[in-house]
Amino acid sequence: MVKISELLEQHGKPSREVYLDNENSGWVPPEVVEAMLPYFNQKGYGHPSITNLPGWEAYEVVESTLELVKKTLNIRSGELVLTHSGTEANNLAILGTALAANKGKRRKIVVSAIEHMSVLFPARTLEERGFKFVTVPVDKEGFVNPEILSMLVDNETLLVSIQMVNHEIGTIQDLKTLVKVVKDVDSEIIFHTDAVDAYGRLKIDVEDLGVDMLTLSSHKIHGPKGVGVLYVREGLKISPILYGALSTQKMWPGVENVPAIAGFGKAVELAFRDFEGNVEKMKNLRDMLIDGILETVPDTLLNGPRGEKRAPDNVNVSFLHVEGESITIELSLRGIYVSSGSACTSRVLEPSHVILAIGRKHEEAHGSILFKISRYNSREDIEYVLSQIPLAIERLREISPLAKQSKRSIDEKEVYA
Amino acid sequence: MIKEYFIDLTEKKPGCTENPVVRLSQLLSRVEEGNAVLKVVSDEREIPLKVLEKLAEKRGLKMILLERDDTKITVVYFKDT
Amino acid sequence: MSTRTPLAYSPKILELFKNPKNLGRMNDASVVSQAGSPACGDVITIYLKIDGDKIIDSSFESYGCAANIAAASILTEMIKGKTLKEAWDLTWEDVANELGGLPPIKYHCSILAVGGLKRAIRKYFEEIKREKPEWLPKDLSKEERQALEEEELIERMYKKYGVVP
Repeated sequence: MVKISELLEQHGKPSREVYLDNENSGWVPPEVVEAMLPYFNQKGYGHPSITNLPGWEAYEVVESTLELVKKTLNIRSGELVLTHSGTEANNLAILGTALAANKGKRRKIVVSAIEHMSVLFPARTLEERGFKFVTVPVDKEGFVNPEILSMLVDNETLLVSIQMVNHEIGTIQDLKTLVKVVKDVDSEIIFHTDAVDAYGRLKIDVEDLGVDMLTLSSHKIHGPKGVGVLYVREGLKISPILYGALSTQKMWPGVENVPAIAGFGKAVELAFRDFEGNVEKMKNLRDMLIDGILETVPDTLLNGPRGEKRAPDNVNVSFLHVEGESITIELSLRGIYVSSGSACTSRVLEPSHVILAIGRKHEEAHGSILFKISRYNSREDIEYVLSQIPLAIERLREISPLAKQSKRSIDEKEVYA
Repeated sequence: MIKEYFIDLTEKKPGCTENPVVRLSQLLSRVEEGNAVLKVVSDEREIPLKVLEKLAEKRGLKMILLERDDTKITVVYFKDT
Repeated sequence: MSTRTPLAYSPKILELFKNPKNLGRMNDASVVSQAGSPACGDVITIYLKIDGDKIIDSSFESYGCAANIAAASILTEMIKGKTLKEAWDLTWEDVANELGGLPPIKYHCSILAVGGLKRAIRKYFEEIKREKPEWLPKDLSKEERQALEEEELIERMYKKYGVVP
C-alpha cells in the first residue's frame, strides 16, 4: 500500500507556488473563510427551517445570499434553488424537467457535444427511460451554430441544455441567439444553461437571455465547495429529484449547508465588487499566458477561440509529443498547478471529449493542458509560469521518442525534398 | 493516400468520447485536411439531412446524399479540390 | 458508478520521474524496439547493447505518464548485467513491485515496458542473430501480446464503431 505522505515528502513543497487549476476547484480567500466561521458555532448554527434564534440567523444568511445572487443575475421573478453542488443543480434541471414532463409528447432532450459531464450523463441516462437524446455538434472553436441548433429542435423537444461558457476551452456561446432560435421553433421548449464557468466572468442577465433555468456553483468563484444554485423561471414546473424533510427550498430537501452559503455570499460580493477590473485583469493575464506559451514553445496548439469570444480566465494548449499527466506532474514539481485533458488523468483512459469534439486528434488531446486564471493571480505569477513551461516541456520532450522522431522525419523530408 | 472513414450516428456508445457526434466533428476535421472522405449514416428524426448539409457548408466541404431508406440516410463528405 | 481519486503513486515513481536513469537514444545499440501508440498516449522505446548472451547496457525513451517513464527507467536498471534469458524471465509484476507498486489503472505501463523489452530480445534473436535459443517461446509472451493489443486498441475501437482511423 502506497503511503501518500511519503509521496508528498518526495514531491516536496515548492518555494514558489502558482495555482492555475481553478477549473477543478478554487482557492478560497481569507475574507470568505472569515464569513463562514461564525456560522459553525457563534450564530446561525441551527437549522434554517426552525423557529428559534439560531434558525432565524441561519435563514437570514440563506435569504441574503440569494437576494445578492438575484441582483447579480438581474432576476426579477422566479426562484433560486440552493443545492449542495453545481452537479446537483444540473441534475435537478435535467432530471427534474424530465420527471415533471412525465408521459407527455415532448421526449427530446438536446445538449451540445461539449457539455460538462453533469449535464451529459443525466441527459443520457434519460435515454434508457424513453427519452430521445440528441447531441449538437460544435465547430473547431467549440461554437454551436444557431441554424444547426434550430434544425435539431422541434415541437417534440422538451429541453435544450447548452452551457454559457465551456469549462475546458472557454468558448463563450452566443446564448441569447441560441435561446431565440429555439424559442422561435417552439416557445414551450425549456432552455437550461450551465453558467458555472460564466458567473463572475461575464455579465449575465437572465431576463435578457430568456433562459428558463441556469446553474451556478460556489467553488468556481472562490467560494467554498458544497453550494450550487439553480435558477428556475417563474411558473416553470420541475420535480424535485431528492425527497426528504422540508427545507427553505421548495425543490430541495434536507439541511442547507449554512456556513458554506455564507461563504458563497461573500465570494459573490467579492467577485462583483470590482467586476470590470477583475475581468480586465484576467483577460490581460490570459493573453499574456497564451502569447507567451505560443511564442516560446514550438509545436503547440491553442484549443478554443481567441479574443472576446474566449472566457477571460481560460487558457488551453496542446503540447505535441508529450503526455498531459507528465506535464501536470512536471509543473507540479515546479509549483505550478494545472490539469490535463489526457486519458491518463481521466482515469478512464479516454481523453477529453471537449478536445476531441473540436476536431483534435487523440494524440493532440493527450497533450492538452488547462490553465485557469483567477483575479488572485499576478503578472509575476504568469511570468514565473512562462519561465518554467519551456523548461518543463523541453525536459519531457527530451524523454519522449516522438519529439525526436517527428523532428527526424522533418529533417529527412528536407534532405529528400 | 485517401482514407475512408465511416460513422454511424444512430449507434449510441457508453463513453462520452465515443459519442458519435464527438467523433463526427473529429473526422470532419480529417476530411478538411484533404486526405480523407467520410461516410455518415444518420436517422433523419435525430440528425436531419439539412443539418448534415449545413455542417459541410460551414467547413467548406462537399456533401452528397448516397442513400435514403425510410428515415435512415447515408451521406458522404469530401473536399472539393 | 466508478470512483476517482488522485493517483497513489509510490515515492519511487516520482523519484524516477524527476531523475530518470538510462534516459535517451543509444547510438551503438545492438537492438531497438518500440511498444505502444501515440493515440493511446503511451510509447516506450527500449535500447539494448548485447555482448555474448549478456545485456551490458540499456536505455529508454518514453512518451507517457509518470508511471510510464518510471517503469521504463527502472526496467533498464533491472536488466543491466543480466543474461538475455534472465531478462526474458522478468514479468510486468516484477517491474511493478520494484517501483513500490503501481495503481491498477497504471499496470499497462509496466506491461508496455516489459512488452517492449521482450520484443527487443525476440527481435535480436530473430532478425540479428538469426538463431533462436530453446528457451525463447514461439508464442508471444503475455506482455508482448498485451502491448500489441494496446497498439490495436484505437483501431479496434474505431472498427467496432464503424470507423477506420
